[in-house]
Amino acid sequence: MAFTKKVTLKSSDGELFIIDRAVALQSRTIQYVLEDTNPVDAIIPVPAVDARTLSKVLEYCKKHLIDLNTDFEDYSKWDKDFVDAEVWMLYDLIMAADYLHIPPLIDLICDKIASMFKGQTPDKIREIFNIDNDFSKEEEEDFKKKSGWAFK
Amino acid sequence: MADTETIPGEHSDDFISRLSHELLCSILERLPLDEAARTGVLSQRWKDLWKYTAFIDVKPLGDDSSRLHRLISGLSQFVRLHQSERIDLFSVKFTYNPDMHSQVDSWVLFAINKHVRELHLDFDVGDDNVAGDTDDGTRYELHPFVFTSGSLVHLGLKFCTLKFPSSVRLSSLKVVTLHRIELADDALEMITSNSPLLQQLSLLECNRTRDLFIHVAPNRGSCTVMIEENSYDVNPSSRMDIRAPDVEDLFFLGSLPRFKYRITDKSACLHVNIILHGKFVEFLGEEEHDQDQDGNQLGVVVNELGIQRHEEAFRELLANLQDAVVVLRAYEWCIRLLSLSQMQDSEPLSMNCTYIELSTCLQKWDLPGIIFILKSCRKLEKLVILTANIDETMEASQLTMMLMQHDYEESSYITSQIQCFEGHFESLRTVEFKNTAGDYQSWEHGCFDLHGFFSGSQGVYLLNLLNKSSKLEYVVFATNNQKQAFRLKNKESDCWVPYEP
Repeated sequence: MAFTKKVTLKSSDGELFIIDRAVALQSRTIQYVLEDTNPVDAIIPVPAVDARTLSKVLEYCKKHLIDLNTDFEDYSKWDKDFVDAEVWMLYDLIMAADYLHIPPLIDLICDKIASMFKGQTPDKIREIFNIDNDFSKEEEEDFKKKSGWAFK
Repeated sequence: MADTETIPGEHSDDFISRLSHELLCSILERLPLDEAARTGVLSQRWKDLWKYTAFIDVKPLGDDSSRLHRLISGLSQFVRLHQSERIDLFSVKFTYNPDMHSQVDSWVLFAINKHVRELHLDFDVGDDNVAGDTDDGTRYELHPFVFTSGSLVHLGLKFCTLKFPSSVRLSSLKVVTLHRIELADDALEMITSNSPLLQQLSLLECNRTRDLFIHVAPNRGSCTVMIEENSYDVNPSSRMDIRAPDVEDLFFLGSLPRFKYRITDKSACLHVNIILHGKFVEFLGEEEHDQDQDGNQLGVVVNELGIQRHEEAFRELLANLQDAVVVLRAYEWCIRLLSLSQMQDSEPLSMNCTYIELSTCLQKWDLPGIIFILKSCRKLEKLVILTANIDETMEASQLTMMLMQHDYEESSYITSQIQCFEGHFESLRTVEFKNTAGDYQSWEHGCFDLHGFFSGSQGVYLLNLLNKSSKLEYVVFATNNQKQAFRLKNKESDCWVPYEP
């Protein structure tokens, strides 16, 4: 019976998601809520995550539950496609994964973001992520001088 | 933490700078040290983040050796500037030279003081150091402070020397990997007796020029010991002495280059895995012995003695393991060594071996070795034979030449041997032949041709012998494309029918 047990999650913008309990349990945050209160039919609010992001996170949780037995290669391809997203989406996802406490999803997104840094110059990284350079010219030069080994 | 920080870019599209300190650090931990440090120039928010990273992994990246040198100098800056209380992983890989001693010492002390959990020092990347003539003076002498670490869980060392402090205490240590480390006779006893949580000890090519003593201290939890040695440069007249009262799993990997293996003080429930995938030519060091100062005739004699000595060493090791549960995965050269045992009428051993996997081309000079193994393993439950292309160097080897002095005729030999197998096997239920070479790779349903499957090999003879097992349920024949189980139609016939459980 435990297999068919459902849990209802409510996103910050009020949308309801009815999902298998086993899917929800991949989030440690929800796991704690369920263990503490055991709300049989109650709705669990997820105030930090909007519907668009939550549905994406749940897509990940479902995939990683059902396909536990498929071989590694299939899995990594799916993961790769999953994080092939705009920066703002990655941001929303990692914030949601952090709030819901889903370590493998956090790792996956960190890997993705790190791969976007790799081999890029600071200027290019600022461009990719819209980072405002709030250093003065002198401060920037000073940093580069102190850590000269890091700059070719 | 993130709440108390002022976060620039809050109202802009700079999403990433809004991430918490912890998340940003986890991103930086995934970058090489120089790229992580470079993010310090992005903005004020990023300026000091790289100084908090808890994972240090400095290794060669591609062929850019100048970058590696920059990383090494950067590491010293990082060690000075590091901000947080802990380091999870500290790993460096590069070819060490003695000028770096004090620099490396300062890193190691830094890591230990920051409660490092995993410490890896690999000072012989690409085997640069081992290639040259190396004595201890060129190795890094590990700071003795490491052996008092209460946080260290995983220690991996390559090409260092060890000096122990007066009191060793490694209260969290679970995994130790020592690669090409010169170990004093009591070194492993010292480590194991002071690491109450130790689960795994791996020794790769240690003490290549002299005897290796693997004495694991008694009265501690169970632990796995893995020994991997390849013949490259191991002194063939050295010994290995193992004392393993609480070791439950023992692995021999690579090849068995030493002339004597002694195992005493065994645990009652010892499991031994012998997985010998090392190369034969390396194993004998054939080329070196071929030329002798008195001419090449003598060279052959020297080599034959060497082979004989290895045959004895291997057989002695197996004999030494008689009361342990053994899993044997042997390659061609091991089988041929035992062919020598068989042809020289050595007594079969009495091994408690339930699973055997043999990689062999099933040629004439493999059969006696396989027979020797089978005779020595009455308790065998499953036998797997993996067949690949014929190894020409093996066929032309000195070992095969030696075997040829004991020439025999296959079918009459098997007929004479088969009697020994009446009632021999106590529980052999499954045999699997996997043939990945040859033309016979698939068959129509119901048309399996045994002789086609074994074409060019002595497999049919072997099969006749295995049929003597009264418990044999089925034999699996597999190729790259197909796999099917068969059983004998009845005891008397040699007609194989598909097996349906």
